[in-house]
Amino acid sequence: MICEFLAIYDIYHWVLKWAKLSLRALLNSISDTLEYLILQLLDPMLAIRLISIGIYPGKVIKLIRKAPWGGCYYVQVDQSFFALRKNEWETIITKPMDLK
Amino acid sequence: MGDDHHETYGFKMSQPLNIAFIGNPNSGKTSLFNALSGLNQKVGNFPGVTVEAKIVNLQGEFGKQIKLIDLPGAYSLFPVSEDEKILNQCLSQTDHPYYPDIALYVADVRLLDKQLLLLTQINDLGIPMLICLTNIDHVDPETVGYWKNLLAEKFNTIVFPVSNRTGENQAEIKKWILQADVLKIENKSAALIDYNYERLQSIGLNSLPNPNENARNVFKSTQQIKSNTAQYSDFIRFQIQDTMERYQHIDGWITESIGTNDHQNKKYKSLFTAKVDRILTHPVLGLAIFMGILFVIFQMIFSFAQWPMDAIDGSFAWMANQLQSVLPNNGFSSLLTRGILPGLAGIVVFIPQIAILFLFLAILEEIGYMSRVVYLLDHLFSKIGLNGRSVIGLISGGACAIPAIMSTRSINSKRERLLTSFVIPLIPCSARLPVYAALIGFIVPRETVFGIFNQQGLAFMGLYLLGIFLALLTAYGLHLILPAKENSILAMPLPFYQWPQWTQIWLTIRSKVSSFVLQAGKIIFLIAILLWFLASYSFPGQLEKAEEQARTEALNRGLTGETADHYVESVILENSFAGKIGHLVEPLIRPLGFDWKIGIALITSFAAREVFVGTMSTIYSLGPNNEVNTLREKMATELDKDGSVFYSPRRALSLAVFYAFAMQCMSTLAVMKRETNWSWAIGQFLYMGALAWISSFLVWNLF
Repeated sequence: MICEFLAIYDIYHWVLKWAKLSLRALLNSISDTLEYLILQLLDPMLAIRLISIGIYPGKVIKLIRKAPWGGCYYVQVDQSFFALRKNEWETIITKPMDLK
Repeated sequence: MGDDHHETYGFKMSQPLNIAFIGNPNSGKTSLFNALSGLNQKVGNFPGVTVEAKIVNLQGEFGKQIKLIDLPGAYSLFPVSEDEKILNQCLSQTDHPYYPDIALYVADVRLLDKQLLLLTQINDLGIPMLICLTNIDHVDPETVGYWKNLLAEKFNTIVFPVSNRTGENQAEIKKWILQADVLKIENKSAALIDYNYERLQSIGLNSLPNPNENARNVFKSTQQIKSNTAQYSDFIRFQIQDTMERYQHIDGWITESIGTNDHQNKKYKSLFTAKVDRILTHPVLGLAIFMGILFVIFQMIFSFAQWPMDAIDGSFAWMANQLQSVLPNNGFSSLLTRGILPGLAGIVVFIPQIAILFLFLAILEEIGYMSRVVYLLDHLFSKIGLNGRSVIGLISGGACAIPAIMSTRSINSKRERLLTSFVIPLIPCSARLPVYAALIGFIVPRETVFGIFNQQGLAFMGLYLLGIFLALLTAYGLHLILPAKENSILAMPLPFYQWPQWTQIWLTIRSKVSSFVLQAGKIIFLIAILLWFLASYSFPGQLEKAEEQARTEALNRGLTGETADHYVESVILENSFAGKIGHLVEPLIRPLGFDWKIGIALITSFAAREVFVGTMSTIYSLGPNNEVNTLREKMATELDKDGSVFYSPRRALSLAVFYAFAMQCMSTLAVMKRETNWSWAIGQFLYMGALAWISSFLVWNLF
């Protein structure tokens, strides 16, 4: 009886700990922000839109996160945020910034 | 400079003075427009397209008529989106009805590095302009002062810093607008880009002496240029170079501003948005939260809206009853109580759902959440030709197609908007519930399977899933068939989160409700009157004869009081035009297992699906106001010619499937016409009709 109770108590704690850890992992999974310098925009039609919203060669673009299932890219240029489709992100030719 | 414009002034002397609000999406343009225009807005359409133009007519202080126009938001006059094309047309053609005499350029002071591009283009067109810097309460006065002076100097014009939240400086702008005809602002600033001979030659344009005209020709030429031509790539290169050159100027001004506190402020604001987005755009949490929000919205329009809707239905029925008891029994009272009142009720009853849905949508749009929804779901929906925003329409279509179709207006791409609104009526709405409830008992017995699942519940769910599946399949089919005219581009800024402004939300709800009542309402009303006529008239003399016969028959059968009245009513309906059409269409619906009685119900329930229950009750002499249960009992006793039960599972399923797919709803037709045009509305009606016929045919013949 006591043994059973202890086992349940253990499982309870194990589940709680696991839930906390995974929630923290979820929240932190996006903290690795990557910075790139924009060199060139490949597709001219997309380039017109990208330039007119403020994404153009010479700017630093930060990849913040991606939507699930190969969806959109959440990026930052200066102090503004943008949603880009995969093909729009791929038309931007970049080089990684030297972090330090 | 500005010579050209003096002519325009002179030419338009007798016409109102057009003052157009121009700016990027999310610049606070529409908020400012609403704040300045108050509640007198009219909604017009741009010529040839279904994009709304919000317009306010004002009386200027010196007697001149002044017309404020809220033009669609755009990032650049080199157009990519539909909205940008419309703005381009409006600004590059001086004979356009909305061509502005004065442009009121609105820009968010926090995002000037991005939002000045369009300003430089409008400047080069030589349109006289005023500049309004919005959201000044989010940055320090020093920064505002810096930009105010800089822009005033560079563009030689007046700059108003405003706050839409505190209302700061709005009164000054309003005062200025009312005196605009006398103040006569001119564009005295030089064009930023020098469209010289070589540059214009490179895209095949002639050089003219007036630089504004050259700029106008450059922007105008984007309307004619076709892709896949030799010129096209030159032209694209030209546009890119042109835009980059403008940015060089803007970047110069920004660099000068670094000395101010500007930078720190923006960082703070974007930090808050970044933090919130860590949760709201998280791959798992973000989707879960969005599902939660959808659930709340759906609950609200599905169950909460039921109270006011029942109240509306009840009060209209009460009014009809009162009138019936007061008025003599003649054609006019019949028109009033059975045609006009139900017609009005059929319009008013949708207002609660529309208001509730748009209350939520306006709040989500205002705080900046909707673009996060697009970010999360765009990929999933773009595969079947829809947009991330389509999900709102599709889900709320589960309550009612009317507000759902209206909500598609926020989808920028015309193609995606059409596709979404085309498939929304296939999503099972709440009006199908009474029909399914009447039929489900005939399809499956009230038993449980596997001990827990109610069979009828499963059948309900099956019918629902069938509708959803067909909606997505139809979207995908259309996506494959319809040629993609425009390039599908998403790339969009995600705005900073902000508090909603309640006047803004109120205006959205008001304009949605009024456009439904005034425009779709007209069509609904006319169809309601037509249906009333069909159900209560016939060729001269026939109805009277039928009624007389029915009375004698009732006496012979020993029917009295209400029972006799119900019997007479059923005979009248059978002999009316509607009844005749029911008989007439019988050959068409016999392959589906339907008889003329169902035919009549199909015709009358075009008013709305739930009318099926009322009509069937009348046909089976139960009187029109009966409960579904009584009808079900009556239907169960109905026998086929060979003596078997008429509503066999196969026939009931065939009928249920027909109601799942057919567009048995005049209001959907009307709202679809309002949002698109007649050909789309009728195309949708025919498509859904064909789909319903074929599916019912298959059910009837294969089961």
